[in-house]
Formats: sequence, structure tokens, C-alpha cells
Amino acid sequence: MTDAAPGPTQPTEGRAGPDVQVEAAFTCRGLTLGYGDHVVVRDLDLEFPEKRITAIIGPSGCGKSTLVRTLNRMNDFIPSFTKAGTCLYRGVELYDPSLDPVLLRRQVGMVFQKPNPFPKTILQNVTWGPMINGYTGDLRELAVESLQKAALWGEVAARLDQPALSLSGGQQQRLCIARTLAMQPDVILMDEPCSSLDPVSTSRIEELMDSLRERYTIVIVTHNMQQAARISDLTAFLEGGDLVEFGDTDQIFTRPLYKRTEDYVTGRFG
Amino acid sequence: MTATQLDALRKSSTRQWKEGSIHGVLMTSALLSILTTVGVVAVLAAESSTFFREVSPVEFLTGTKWTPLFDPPSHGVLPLLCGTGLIAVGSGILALPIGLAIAVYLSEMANRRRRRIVKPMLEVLAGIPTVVYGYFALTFVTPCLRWLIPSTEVFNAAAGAIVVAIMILPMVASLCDDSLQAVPASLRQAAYSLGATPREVSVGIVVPGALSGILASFVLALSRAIGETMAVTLAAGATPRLTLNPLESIQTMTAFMAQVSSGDAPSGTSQYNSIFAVGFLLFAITLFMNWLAQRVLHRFREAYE
Ligand SMILES: Nc1ncnc2c1ncn2[C@@H]1O[C@H](COP(=O)(O)OP(=O)(O)O)[C@@H](O)[C@H]1O
Ligand SMILES: [Mg+2]
Repeated sequence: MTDAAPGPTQPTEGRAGPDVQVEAAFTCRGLTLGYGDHVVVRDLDLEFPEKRITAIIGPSGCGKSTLVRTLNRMNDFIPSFTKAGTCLYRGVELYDPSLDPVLLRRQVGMVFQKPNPFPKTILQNVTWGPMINGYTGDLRELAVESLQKAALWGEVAARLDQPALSLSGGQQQRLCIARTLAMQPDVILMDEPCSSLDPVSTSRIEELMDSLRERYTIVIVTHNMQQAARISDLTAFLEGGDLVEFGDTDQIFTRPLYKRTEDYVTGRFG
Repeated sequence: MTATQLDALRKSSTRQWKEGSIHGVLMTSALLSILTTVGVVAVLAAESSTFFREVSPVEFLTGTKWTPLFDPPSHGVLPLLCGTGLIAVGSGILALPIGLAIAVYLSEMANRRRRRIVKPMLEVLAGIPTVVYGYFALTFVTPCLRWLIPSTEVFNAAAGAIVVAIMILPMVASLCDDSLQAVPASLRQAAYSLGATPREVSVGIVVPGALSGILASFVLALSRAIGETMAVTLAAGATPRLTLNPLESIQTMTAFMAQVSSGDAPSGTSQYNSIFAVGFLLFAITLFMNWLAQRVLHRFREAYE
């Protein structure tokens, strides 16, 4: 696995890198991440194309979360976190000392593994982010729009002033997505957003992601192979600290180049 | 079941005895504390009932003059209540916001090293005997106040309120810190991921999320301020007075009780009995406040389940 060379969007047989015509939202070059002396992923080269869904798969502990948390600088809160190499967001080094992570996170939103709505009302959950960021339009209108995009509006329209914690787990996760959408981000990072949800809620979230395709750059970490295969355009497979393979989802799941990838996606690992 | 099987499973009398005795010791300790409380309430009720045979509860609760040592005595508890109120409100105004600010700093802003320095300092503050605070008020706080505002009396409520504020500060800070720490880290992460600054996360998410715990700690701290005796006796004086001026000498309920019980009232007199009536009122107030704190905390627990 070497550099992912830009090329046409259609899957092309026998290529290691994804064929990407569109611009890259993130470009990682020689990216090494770790905690203290412990190196988690080393020397990553990959690109997350704009307006595409890129899935990151791999066994647990292989550094998927570490990688996505790097993309919106959420690792800043872990004192022992270390990083070497470059990671560009639209051509700008993410860890440039003059870059303000607060402003970055307004453009690069995140949905977490466990739904984490604020202990506020449903409406306040969606409006809080835009409010603190000085949104000048009609907050309620924005909230309605975001809830609609997150496929939650029908279920909460009549109860906007009720506590968000009164919603079911699946609804809470869609609320968290609505909250992220209300920030009008460019990128949405999702770290195993369905891992605590039942199958029905999971398929609702997948439908929702499908509806967001082409409008947002989405990076989703998932340990669910079928999910990655169903929803993503590109798939990156991490294992043992390496990016084993990165390519069009179709190719990764049907014609993987490497034995390690094949073993993992077909469930013959460990 | 064969005999051997039953032997293997037979109850062991030594173990039963051990378990039983532990149970007994623990239960006795629990009973002891309940009995103490019941005893205190009984004595307070009995002695105050003697007092209320001489003085009507209405006169006690609405009278504006507290001169039980005069002849004829006047038993209006309002001046004492007012003195206690001045100390509680004054110390609350100072200690609650500062305590909360320290807690937010410790919980949300300080790194681990600073936390390790500030926390023990607060605990030392909490360990200083209250009589030391009293003399600190007399020899340092009051002179400062008199230098700032020369009309300040030698004994004054403000000095009392200031030292009581210092006394309850560690409690406010530590209890608020606990409730801020109880706010799940995932909420902070959510807020940061929405482009919030540390200030916005603290003020907009963490403090509101811990609000019930914070309010409960305020109530507990105030009930501690109300019950504080030594420092206010020394600093605020012994002049029961219905006043809102913190620069005057006043007397709190506790200070009155300390004054009378430290000597000059013979048992059985109405002066002597009056301390039980005041004590009963004080007990009722702090009980109410602790109950209030429990209620508020109960709402807090519901919030994250
Ligand atoms: N905050 C942290 N401090 C130290 N080590 C961590 C921290 N978070 C994760 N790690 C370590 O980094 C490795 C990768 O973790 P993570 O990125 O969470 O993996 P994944 O999301 O793929 O399961 C693991 O070995 C984990 O123990
Ligand atoms: Mg993870």
C-alpha cells in the first residue's frame, strides 16, 4: 500500500489507492499517531475525498478512533497524545500552531459512539451550537431544518420542549446528528455511531447517512462490515498500526488486494 | 440427599456467629446515632415547652426585642434571626460565587498539577479551628474594615460574615467540584465538537448540568453558616439588634446560646429555657435546609438516568 493517487471516480480494477477525482478534504502523509511512547498507527498515507462517505474498518484497538479524533483535533484533550507527519484539511496543516481548533470543529463536526445529548430540551440541543457560535438567522428554523435532515422531525415536532434524555437511544443519536448538522459543517466524523443501537435504529441512521451523501464529507468508523459495505464509497482498512488497504468500498469487499484485508472482511481473522 | 452431601453443605455455626456479631455491632452503631438524634430532639422539645408555657410562641416568633436578661424580659427572637440572617446572607454572597468559581477552575480549567496544589490548600482551610477564625476576624478583618469605613463598630456582622465565608468556602468549592466532576465527559466532548470554547463548555453545559448539585451544596453551606458559633460570637458581638447594617454589632442565635450556656443563667429560669427555644428554632431551620438540599440533589440524580 503506497500513496493513494488521484484519478477517476469509478472503481478501477487492480489499484491499491482509491480513484478520486474530487478534492481531498483531508490528506494524511506519513501520519504517525500515538500516546506517550505507544505508537498506535504509523506512517499513514491516505486521503478522505470531499462529499464522499469513507469508512474506516479494522479490529478494535487498531487506532480508528485515534485517527478520526485527529481530524477535528479532539485528541488535544488527551495530554499524552503525540503526532508526527502531516495531516492537511483542505490544504491547511491541522496542527499548524496558528490554526484555532475551535474554529476547525465548527467545520468538522463529530458524532460519538454513545449518544450524548445535552441534558437540555430537544430544541436547545440543536440550537446550542449555532447559538454560541453567533448564528444570526432564525435558530428555530435552523433547528427544524436540521431535525428534518436528520430524519427525526416527525417524531419530535410535537415535543421540542421536552428533555432530550426522554428520547430513545436511536432517537438520541439522530438528535446528535441533527445537532451536528445545525452547525452547517463541511465534514461529519462518526465514530461507531450505531454500535449502541438496535438494528432498526441502525438502519434508520444508515438511511439518514445515505440522504447526506454528496452534501457532506463523511468519515465513519464502523466495526460492522455490512454497514461499511452498504453505505460507504471508500473503505480504509487499518490493522496492527498500518493502513493495510485503502480503496473503493466495492473493490475492498469484492476484490481485496491483500490477504489480510480479505481475511478481515470475510470474517477470518484472529 | 445422602448424609455426606448434607455434611458438605451444613451451615457452619462459627460463621453464623461471626456474621451475626458483625451485624449486631453495625446495627448498634446505627441505633446509637438515631438514639442521639431522638434524644436531642426530645430534650429540645421538653425544655422549650417549659419556655413556651411562659412566653407565647407568637410573641417569640414576632417580637422585635430580645432582652431575656432584663427585667421585665422581652423574648422576641427576630433580632437573633436577623443577626443569623445577616451572617448567612453575607457569607453566602461572598462564598457561594467564589466557591463555585474555584470549583469550575479546578474541575474544568486546571491541569492535574495545579489541582494537586489547590485542593489540599482548600482542605487546610477547612481544618482550621473556628476559634482561630474568630480571632482572625477581631485582629485582622475588623481593623481592615475600620480603616476602610471608620464608622464600623468593633464588633460587627461584616467581619463575622467574612470569616464565615472563608470557613464555608472549602465546602462550597469541594462539593461543587464533585458535582461538576459528575457531569459525564461525553457531554464536554459533544460541546467541544460543536466548536465551543472552554468557557462556553463550562458555563453552557457543565455548570447547568451540575446545577442541582451546586444548589444543594449552596444550601448545605448556608446551613453550616447558620450553625456556626465560635467565630461569630467573637467577631459579631452580643448585641441582639434588628438591623440590616453589617457594620453594626449584632448577635446570632448561636452566639446567644453560647453566651447564656457559658455561665450566668441559672437552670430553670426563663433565660436558661430560652436557649432551648432558640436552639429548637435553629434545629428546625437547619433541618429544613438539609431536607431542601436532599430534595434538590434527588432531582440531580434523575437527570442522568
Ligand atoms: N486516551 C488514551 N490514552 C492512552 N492510550 C489510548 C487512549 N485512547 C486509546 N488509546 C490506545 O490507543 C490504541 C488505539 O485506540 P483507539 O483509537 O481507541 O482504537 P479503536 O477505535 O480502533 O478501537 C489502543 O491500544 C488504546 O489502548
Ligand atoms: Mg474506537
